[in-house]
Amino acid sequence: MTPAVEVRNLTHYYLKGTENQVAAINNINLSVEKGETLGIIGHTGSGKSTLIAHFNGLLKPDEGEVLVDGKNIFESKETLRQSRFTLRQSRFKVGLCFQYPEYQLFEETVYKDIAFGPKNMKLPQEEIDRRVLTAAGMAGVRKENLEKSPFDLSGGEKRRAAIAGVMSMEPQVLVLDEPAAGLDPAGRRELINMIKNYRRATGCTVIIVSHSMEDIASVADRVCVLNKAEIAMLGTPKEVYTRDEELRSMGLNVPEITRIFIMLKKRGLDVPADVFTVDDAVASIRKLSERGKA
Amino acid sequence: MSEKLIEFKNVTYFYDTDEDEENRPQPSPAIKDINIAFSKGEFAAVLGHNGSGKSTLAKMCNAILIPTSGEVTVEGMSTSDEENGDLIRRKVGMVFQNPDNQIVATIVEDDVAFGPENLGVEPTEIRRRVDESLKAVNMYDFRLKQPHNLSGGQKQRVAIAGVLAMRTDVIVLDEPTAMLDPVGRADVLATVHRLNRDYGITVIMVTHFMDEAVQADRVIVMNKGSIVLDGTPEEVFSNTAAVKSCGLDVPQSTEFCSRIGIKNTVLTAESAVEEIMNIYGGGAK
Repeated sequence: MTPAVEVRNLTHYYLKGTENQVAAINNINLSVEKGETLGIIGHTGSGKSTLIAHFNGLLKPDEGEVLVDGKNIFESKETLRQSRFTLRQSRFKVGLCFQYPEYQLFEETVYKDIAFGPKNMKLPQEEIDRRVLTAAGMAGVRKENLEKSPFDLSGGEKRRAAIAGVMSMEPQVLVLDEPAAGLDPAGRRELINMIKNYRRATGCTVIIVSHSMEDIASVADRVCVLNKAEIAMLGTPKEVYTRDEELRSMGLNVPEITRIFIMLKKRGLDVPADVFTVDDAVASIRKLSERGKA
Repeated sequence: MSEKLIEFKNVTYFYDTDEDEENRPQPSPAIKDINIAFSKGEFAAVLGHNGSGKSTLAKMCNAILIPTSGEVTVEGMSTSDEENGDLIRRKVGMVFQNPDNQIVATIVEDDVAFGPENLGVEPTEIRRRVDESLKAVNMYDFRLKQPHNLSGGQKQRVAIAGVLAMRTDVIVLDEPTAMLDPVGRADVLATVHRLNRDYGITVIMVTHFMDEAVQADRVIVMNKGSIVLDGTPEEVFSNTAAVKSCGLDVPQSTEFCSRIGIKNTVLTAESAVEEIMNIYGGGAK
């Protein structure tokens, strides 16, 4: 199957041609399958945001190529445009939702803000209406908020409205940069559930950039760890999170509960090292005590 | 007995309502009838979901916001009296969430000097304070760098140095690590703890991170404009149901240990491991 997004030998320099030239990402090879959820983690400056800005051609590779649905997006103006929206199919290909997207809300009403993308895609009004309502529903924007000014919403509501504005373009690949940053724990949980539901409902590819290993563990099929502009690890959460010492040396923390189990295992207790949630943790301790009784 | 440095007496605060829209319902207060005192030298963490009133509380500590009713005093000076404003802000400094919104100069040391310059401090004294403050936050080596080339955590530490250079007794931090990665968070947190321990600076820190709250002397939980829990981290987090009903989490270690029937309130991964080894580690060596 053709990958949804593929990058080959991708390198991007900042301050290119000056003595301060640095590679923000260096020789990256990555392919994201259709329908999968990929988590990208890495410390600040590891190249996460630079990498995802290539997925719809916001940044141009200095070396290497970017393929969306098998097509090199920089082949021509037309292919670049198609990576953002294909007019014939009215299908936006890669939808990028930046960090703190609520700062980009600007319309008079939430409805108009969510409709902005589809309107620019020159869709018929009926279709725009359908998309706004569907996206609002998926992102958890309440109906009574649609006619309000986006500036009258709370922080979490604004965030969801902004995400709905990307979803309404019905991208095949939804890329979210730190979607839960700055939210309180309940808001975080809601947002992560919203992404899970979106994926279940649409079957679309989702790429999430995050600092939170907990959040990534709960949504991602695969995790890509970036360190110093290169891919340091790529695998299932289980494969990646059990390498806790390496992760820590890269400035990343495994979830607290995972750390407890890794320590218990090292102390000789017969427990799995790939525990990411408190529910799993409680279950494996119960198993342990049942075995103890037997 | 420790002395009360900042005191809230029956404090209520309403954000300004838009007077053009008459039919808009009267909003509920951001803070309602709060009574609380912060003592000299303590490290208090303030928790609460978005909109719980915690940032409003923080901004009332140095007269950025003035109570709609009730009174906030800093060493006995009321923040409602405009004449006290300058003095209060010299005692209580504030660090905000977004590191990019609070840096004003193009060179790190100029930014740190900005506060004392505005207070009319002597140039030689400014030099001394800037150097000392930058050393205190481990940013002295970066003094001649441009702030936009620093990481988020480094910028936050510069912002903290800027507050220190004003010789404040209290630092109020409003989610200082929300926009930082784990390394930046750890750096900022370690810095704040060191200032509290070594310099006796009182810290009031608003945060969303339970693992940061666990390290404080005192945890205050706010919900809907009121204080619902106030105590040591053990006292607060042992009350899992109350914490969760405010839309917050208890640390994973705490929740895990309470669910597998460990009676003590566990706050860190390390103590969770000890507790579990005590029960199940009998056979293993």
